[in-house]
Amino acid sequence: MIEGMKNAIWKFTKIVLANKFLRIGFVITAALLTFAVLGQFWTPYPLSSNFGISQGPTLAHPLGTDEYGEDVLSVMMASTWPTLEVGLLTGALVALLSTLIGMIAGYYASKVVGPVVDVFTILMLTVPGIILVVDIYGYVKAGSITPSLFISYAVTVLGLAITGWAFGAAQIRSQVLSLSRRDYILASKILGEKSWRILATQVLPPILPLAFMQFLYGVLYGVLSLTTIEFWGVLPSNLFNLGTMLNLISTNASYLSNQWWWILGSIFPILILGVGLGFLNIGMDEFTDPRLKKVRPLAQMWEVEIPAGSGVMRIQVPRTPRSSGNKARGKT
Amino acid sequence: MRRNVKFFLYKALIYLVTFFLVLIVNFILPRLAPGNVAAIILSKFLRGVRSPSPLIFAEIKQLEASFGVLPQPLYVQLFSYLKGIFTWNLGLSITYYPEAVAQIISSSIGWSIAEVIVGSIVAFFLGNYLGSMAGYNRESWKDVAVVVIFGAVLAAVPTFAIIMYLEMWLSLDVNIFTIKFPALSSLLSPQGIVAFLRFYTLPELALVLTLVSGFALGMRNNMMHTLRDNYVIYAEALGIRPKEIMRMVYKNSLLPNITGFALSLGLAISEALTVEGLLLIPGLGTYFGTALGNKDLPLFQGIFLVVAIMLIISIAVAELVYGYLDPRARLGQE
Repeated sequence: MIEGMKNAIWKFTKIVLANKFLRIGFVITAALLTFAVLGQFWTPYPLSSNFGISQGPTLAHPLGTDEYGEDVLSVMMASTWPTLEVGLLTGALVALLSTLIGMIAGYYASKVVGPVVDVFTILMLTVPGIILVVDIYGYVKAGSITPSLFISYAVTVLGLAITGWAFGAAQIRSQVLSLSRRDYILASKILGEKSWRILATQVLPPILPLAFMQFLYGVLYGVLSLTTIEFWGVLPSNLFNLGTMLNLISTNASYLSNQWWWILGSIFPILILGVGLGFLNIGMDEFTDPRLKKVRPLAQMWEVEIPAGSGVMRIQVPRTPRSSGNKARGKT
Repeated sequence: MRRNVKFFLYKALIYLVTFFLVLIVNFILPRLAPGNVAAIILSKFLRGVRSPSPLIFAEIKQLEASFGVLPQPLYVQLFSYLKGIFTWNLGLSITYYPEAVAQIISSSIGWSIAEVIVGSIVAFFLGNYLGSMAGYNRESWKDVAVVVIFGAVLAAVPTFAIIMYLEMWLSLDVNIFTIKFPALSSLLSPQGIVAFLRFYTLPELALVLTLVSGFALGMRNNMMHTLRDNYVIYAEALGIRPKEIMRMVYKNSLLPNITGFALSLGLAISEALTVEGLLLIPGLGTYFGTALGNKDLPLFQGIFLVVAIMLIISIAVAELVYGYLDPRARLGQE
């Protein structure tokens, strides 16, 4: 078991290291996560201490201070992790739901499962997650109840995940539909393999990259949605996230008084997250579609000049097998 | 032909069922909320009303229907709720009493629809252009720029943060655009149109920048897949110019993005509401914000319902168009 895990981790690291874009993406994302976790334990200045209202950036306060006199960099550091947490959890749930539903709908494409999945897919596409969550909190707020921190985030993540899986599920479903008609799966069926085992061992592995892409989109979707929900100010105000910062900026109309540093402080971690996930996205291409994989020839290439017409033409020929290639080099 | 009819009937049925499910979600949500929502609305409502009139009795009846003020069995409540929706009677707004919610929505929905449609169409073409460029030059600096900036960074930054920067820079600093919503009375004069455009460009631009990501990534993906198709390799072998091949591939990759168009509408309307709320454009967003601030439950229940219905219709239309354009979508179903 441990041996298998070790192998899997080793294989994973090898894949990541082999791809330039995955490498860059992982480094940026990991750096952001470290920064976010650090902000939970240490900030340059203590929060909610006054350094003078709306000061521009200085050496002591690289991102200036906000309208409450707080150091923007410190607030940003403290707010990054909760934002990422919502994004990561939403991404994980979206990936899980879309993979599960897509696999089941694609594999058991019967007269009953098909329409049911169709209805729920369209239902979830039509109910926008952001407005749904805002709506729920509108009712909660009308009932004059302040939910706890955990419940606020849990409802947000669940609301976003439940409305966010549909697009990914449709993609995975069509993949599974074509996969489950392949010969090797038909053979397993005829041999009497249990269907959950077919799903887990033969259908799941080829769609894992696609599931990972759903995770990437889910993270972006979660972060965007959380900050957009916060705009309406219905979430409890004791939450510390980047959306709360943006909400304070819009309710204080600070963008009218040219406080660009405060806005920058509240979106900077989102920008970095976007860059990291963007690189990961490019790096994932060759895994989601094997046809896009760049194939390096095993043999070294060898340039040969052949006379063509009046001039010469250069073409590349492989030097195979390797031993004879060495011999050839020895001769020349 | 019979297969086509069957396909469209099936789709119509699916959308009808979805429509009723949306109505039921909207019916259940206020009833699931903790705290006695109904009592709160009723007290708030009665506080806002000075003298009783026949209107109020009608309103209380509608509140009963929408939120279950009186302890009636659920199916009776559901029935009167559905009746209210089908007669386009969504109750009276608390904030704007005695204006009806349906009336507020009909007078403001045009702004939101216009903003979403214009923004989506511009984003569709811009995203397709960027995505095709990225997909054609895979892993080049152009590709990286499109995916990272348009595909990922702008996909995570909320529209109202983008518009804050745009307004700060282009309206307040440089003074090319204006931040204040222009008076609509002078809209028909040339100056009025200029003033309107000076206001309206930035909100649209911000919305386009948020929406472009889905289209750009979708197009890039389709483009990369189509470029590996045999007919492209054949065309290359024939020696057709790359520009010509690119045009061929572009057209074929465009098709699946039409479904992307419908899918992005949910995001588009959510983000458009925040832009309207921030800049006080008299669309649904401004009323949505007021309703949330004043606990005006009938108003935001109505807005939620209308947004969901709009999305159902547009997704249905997109699927219809797609089914018409791409026979594989129709026939591959069986």
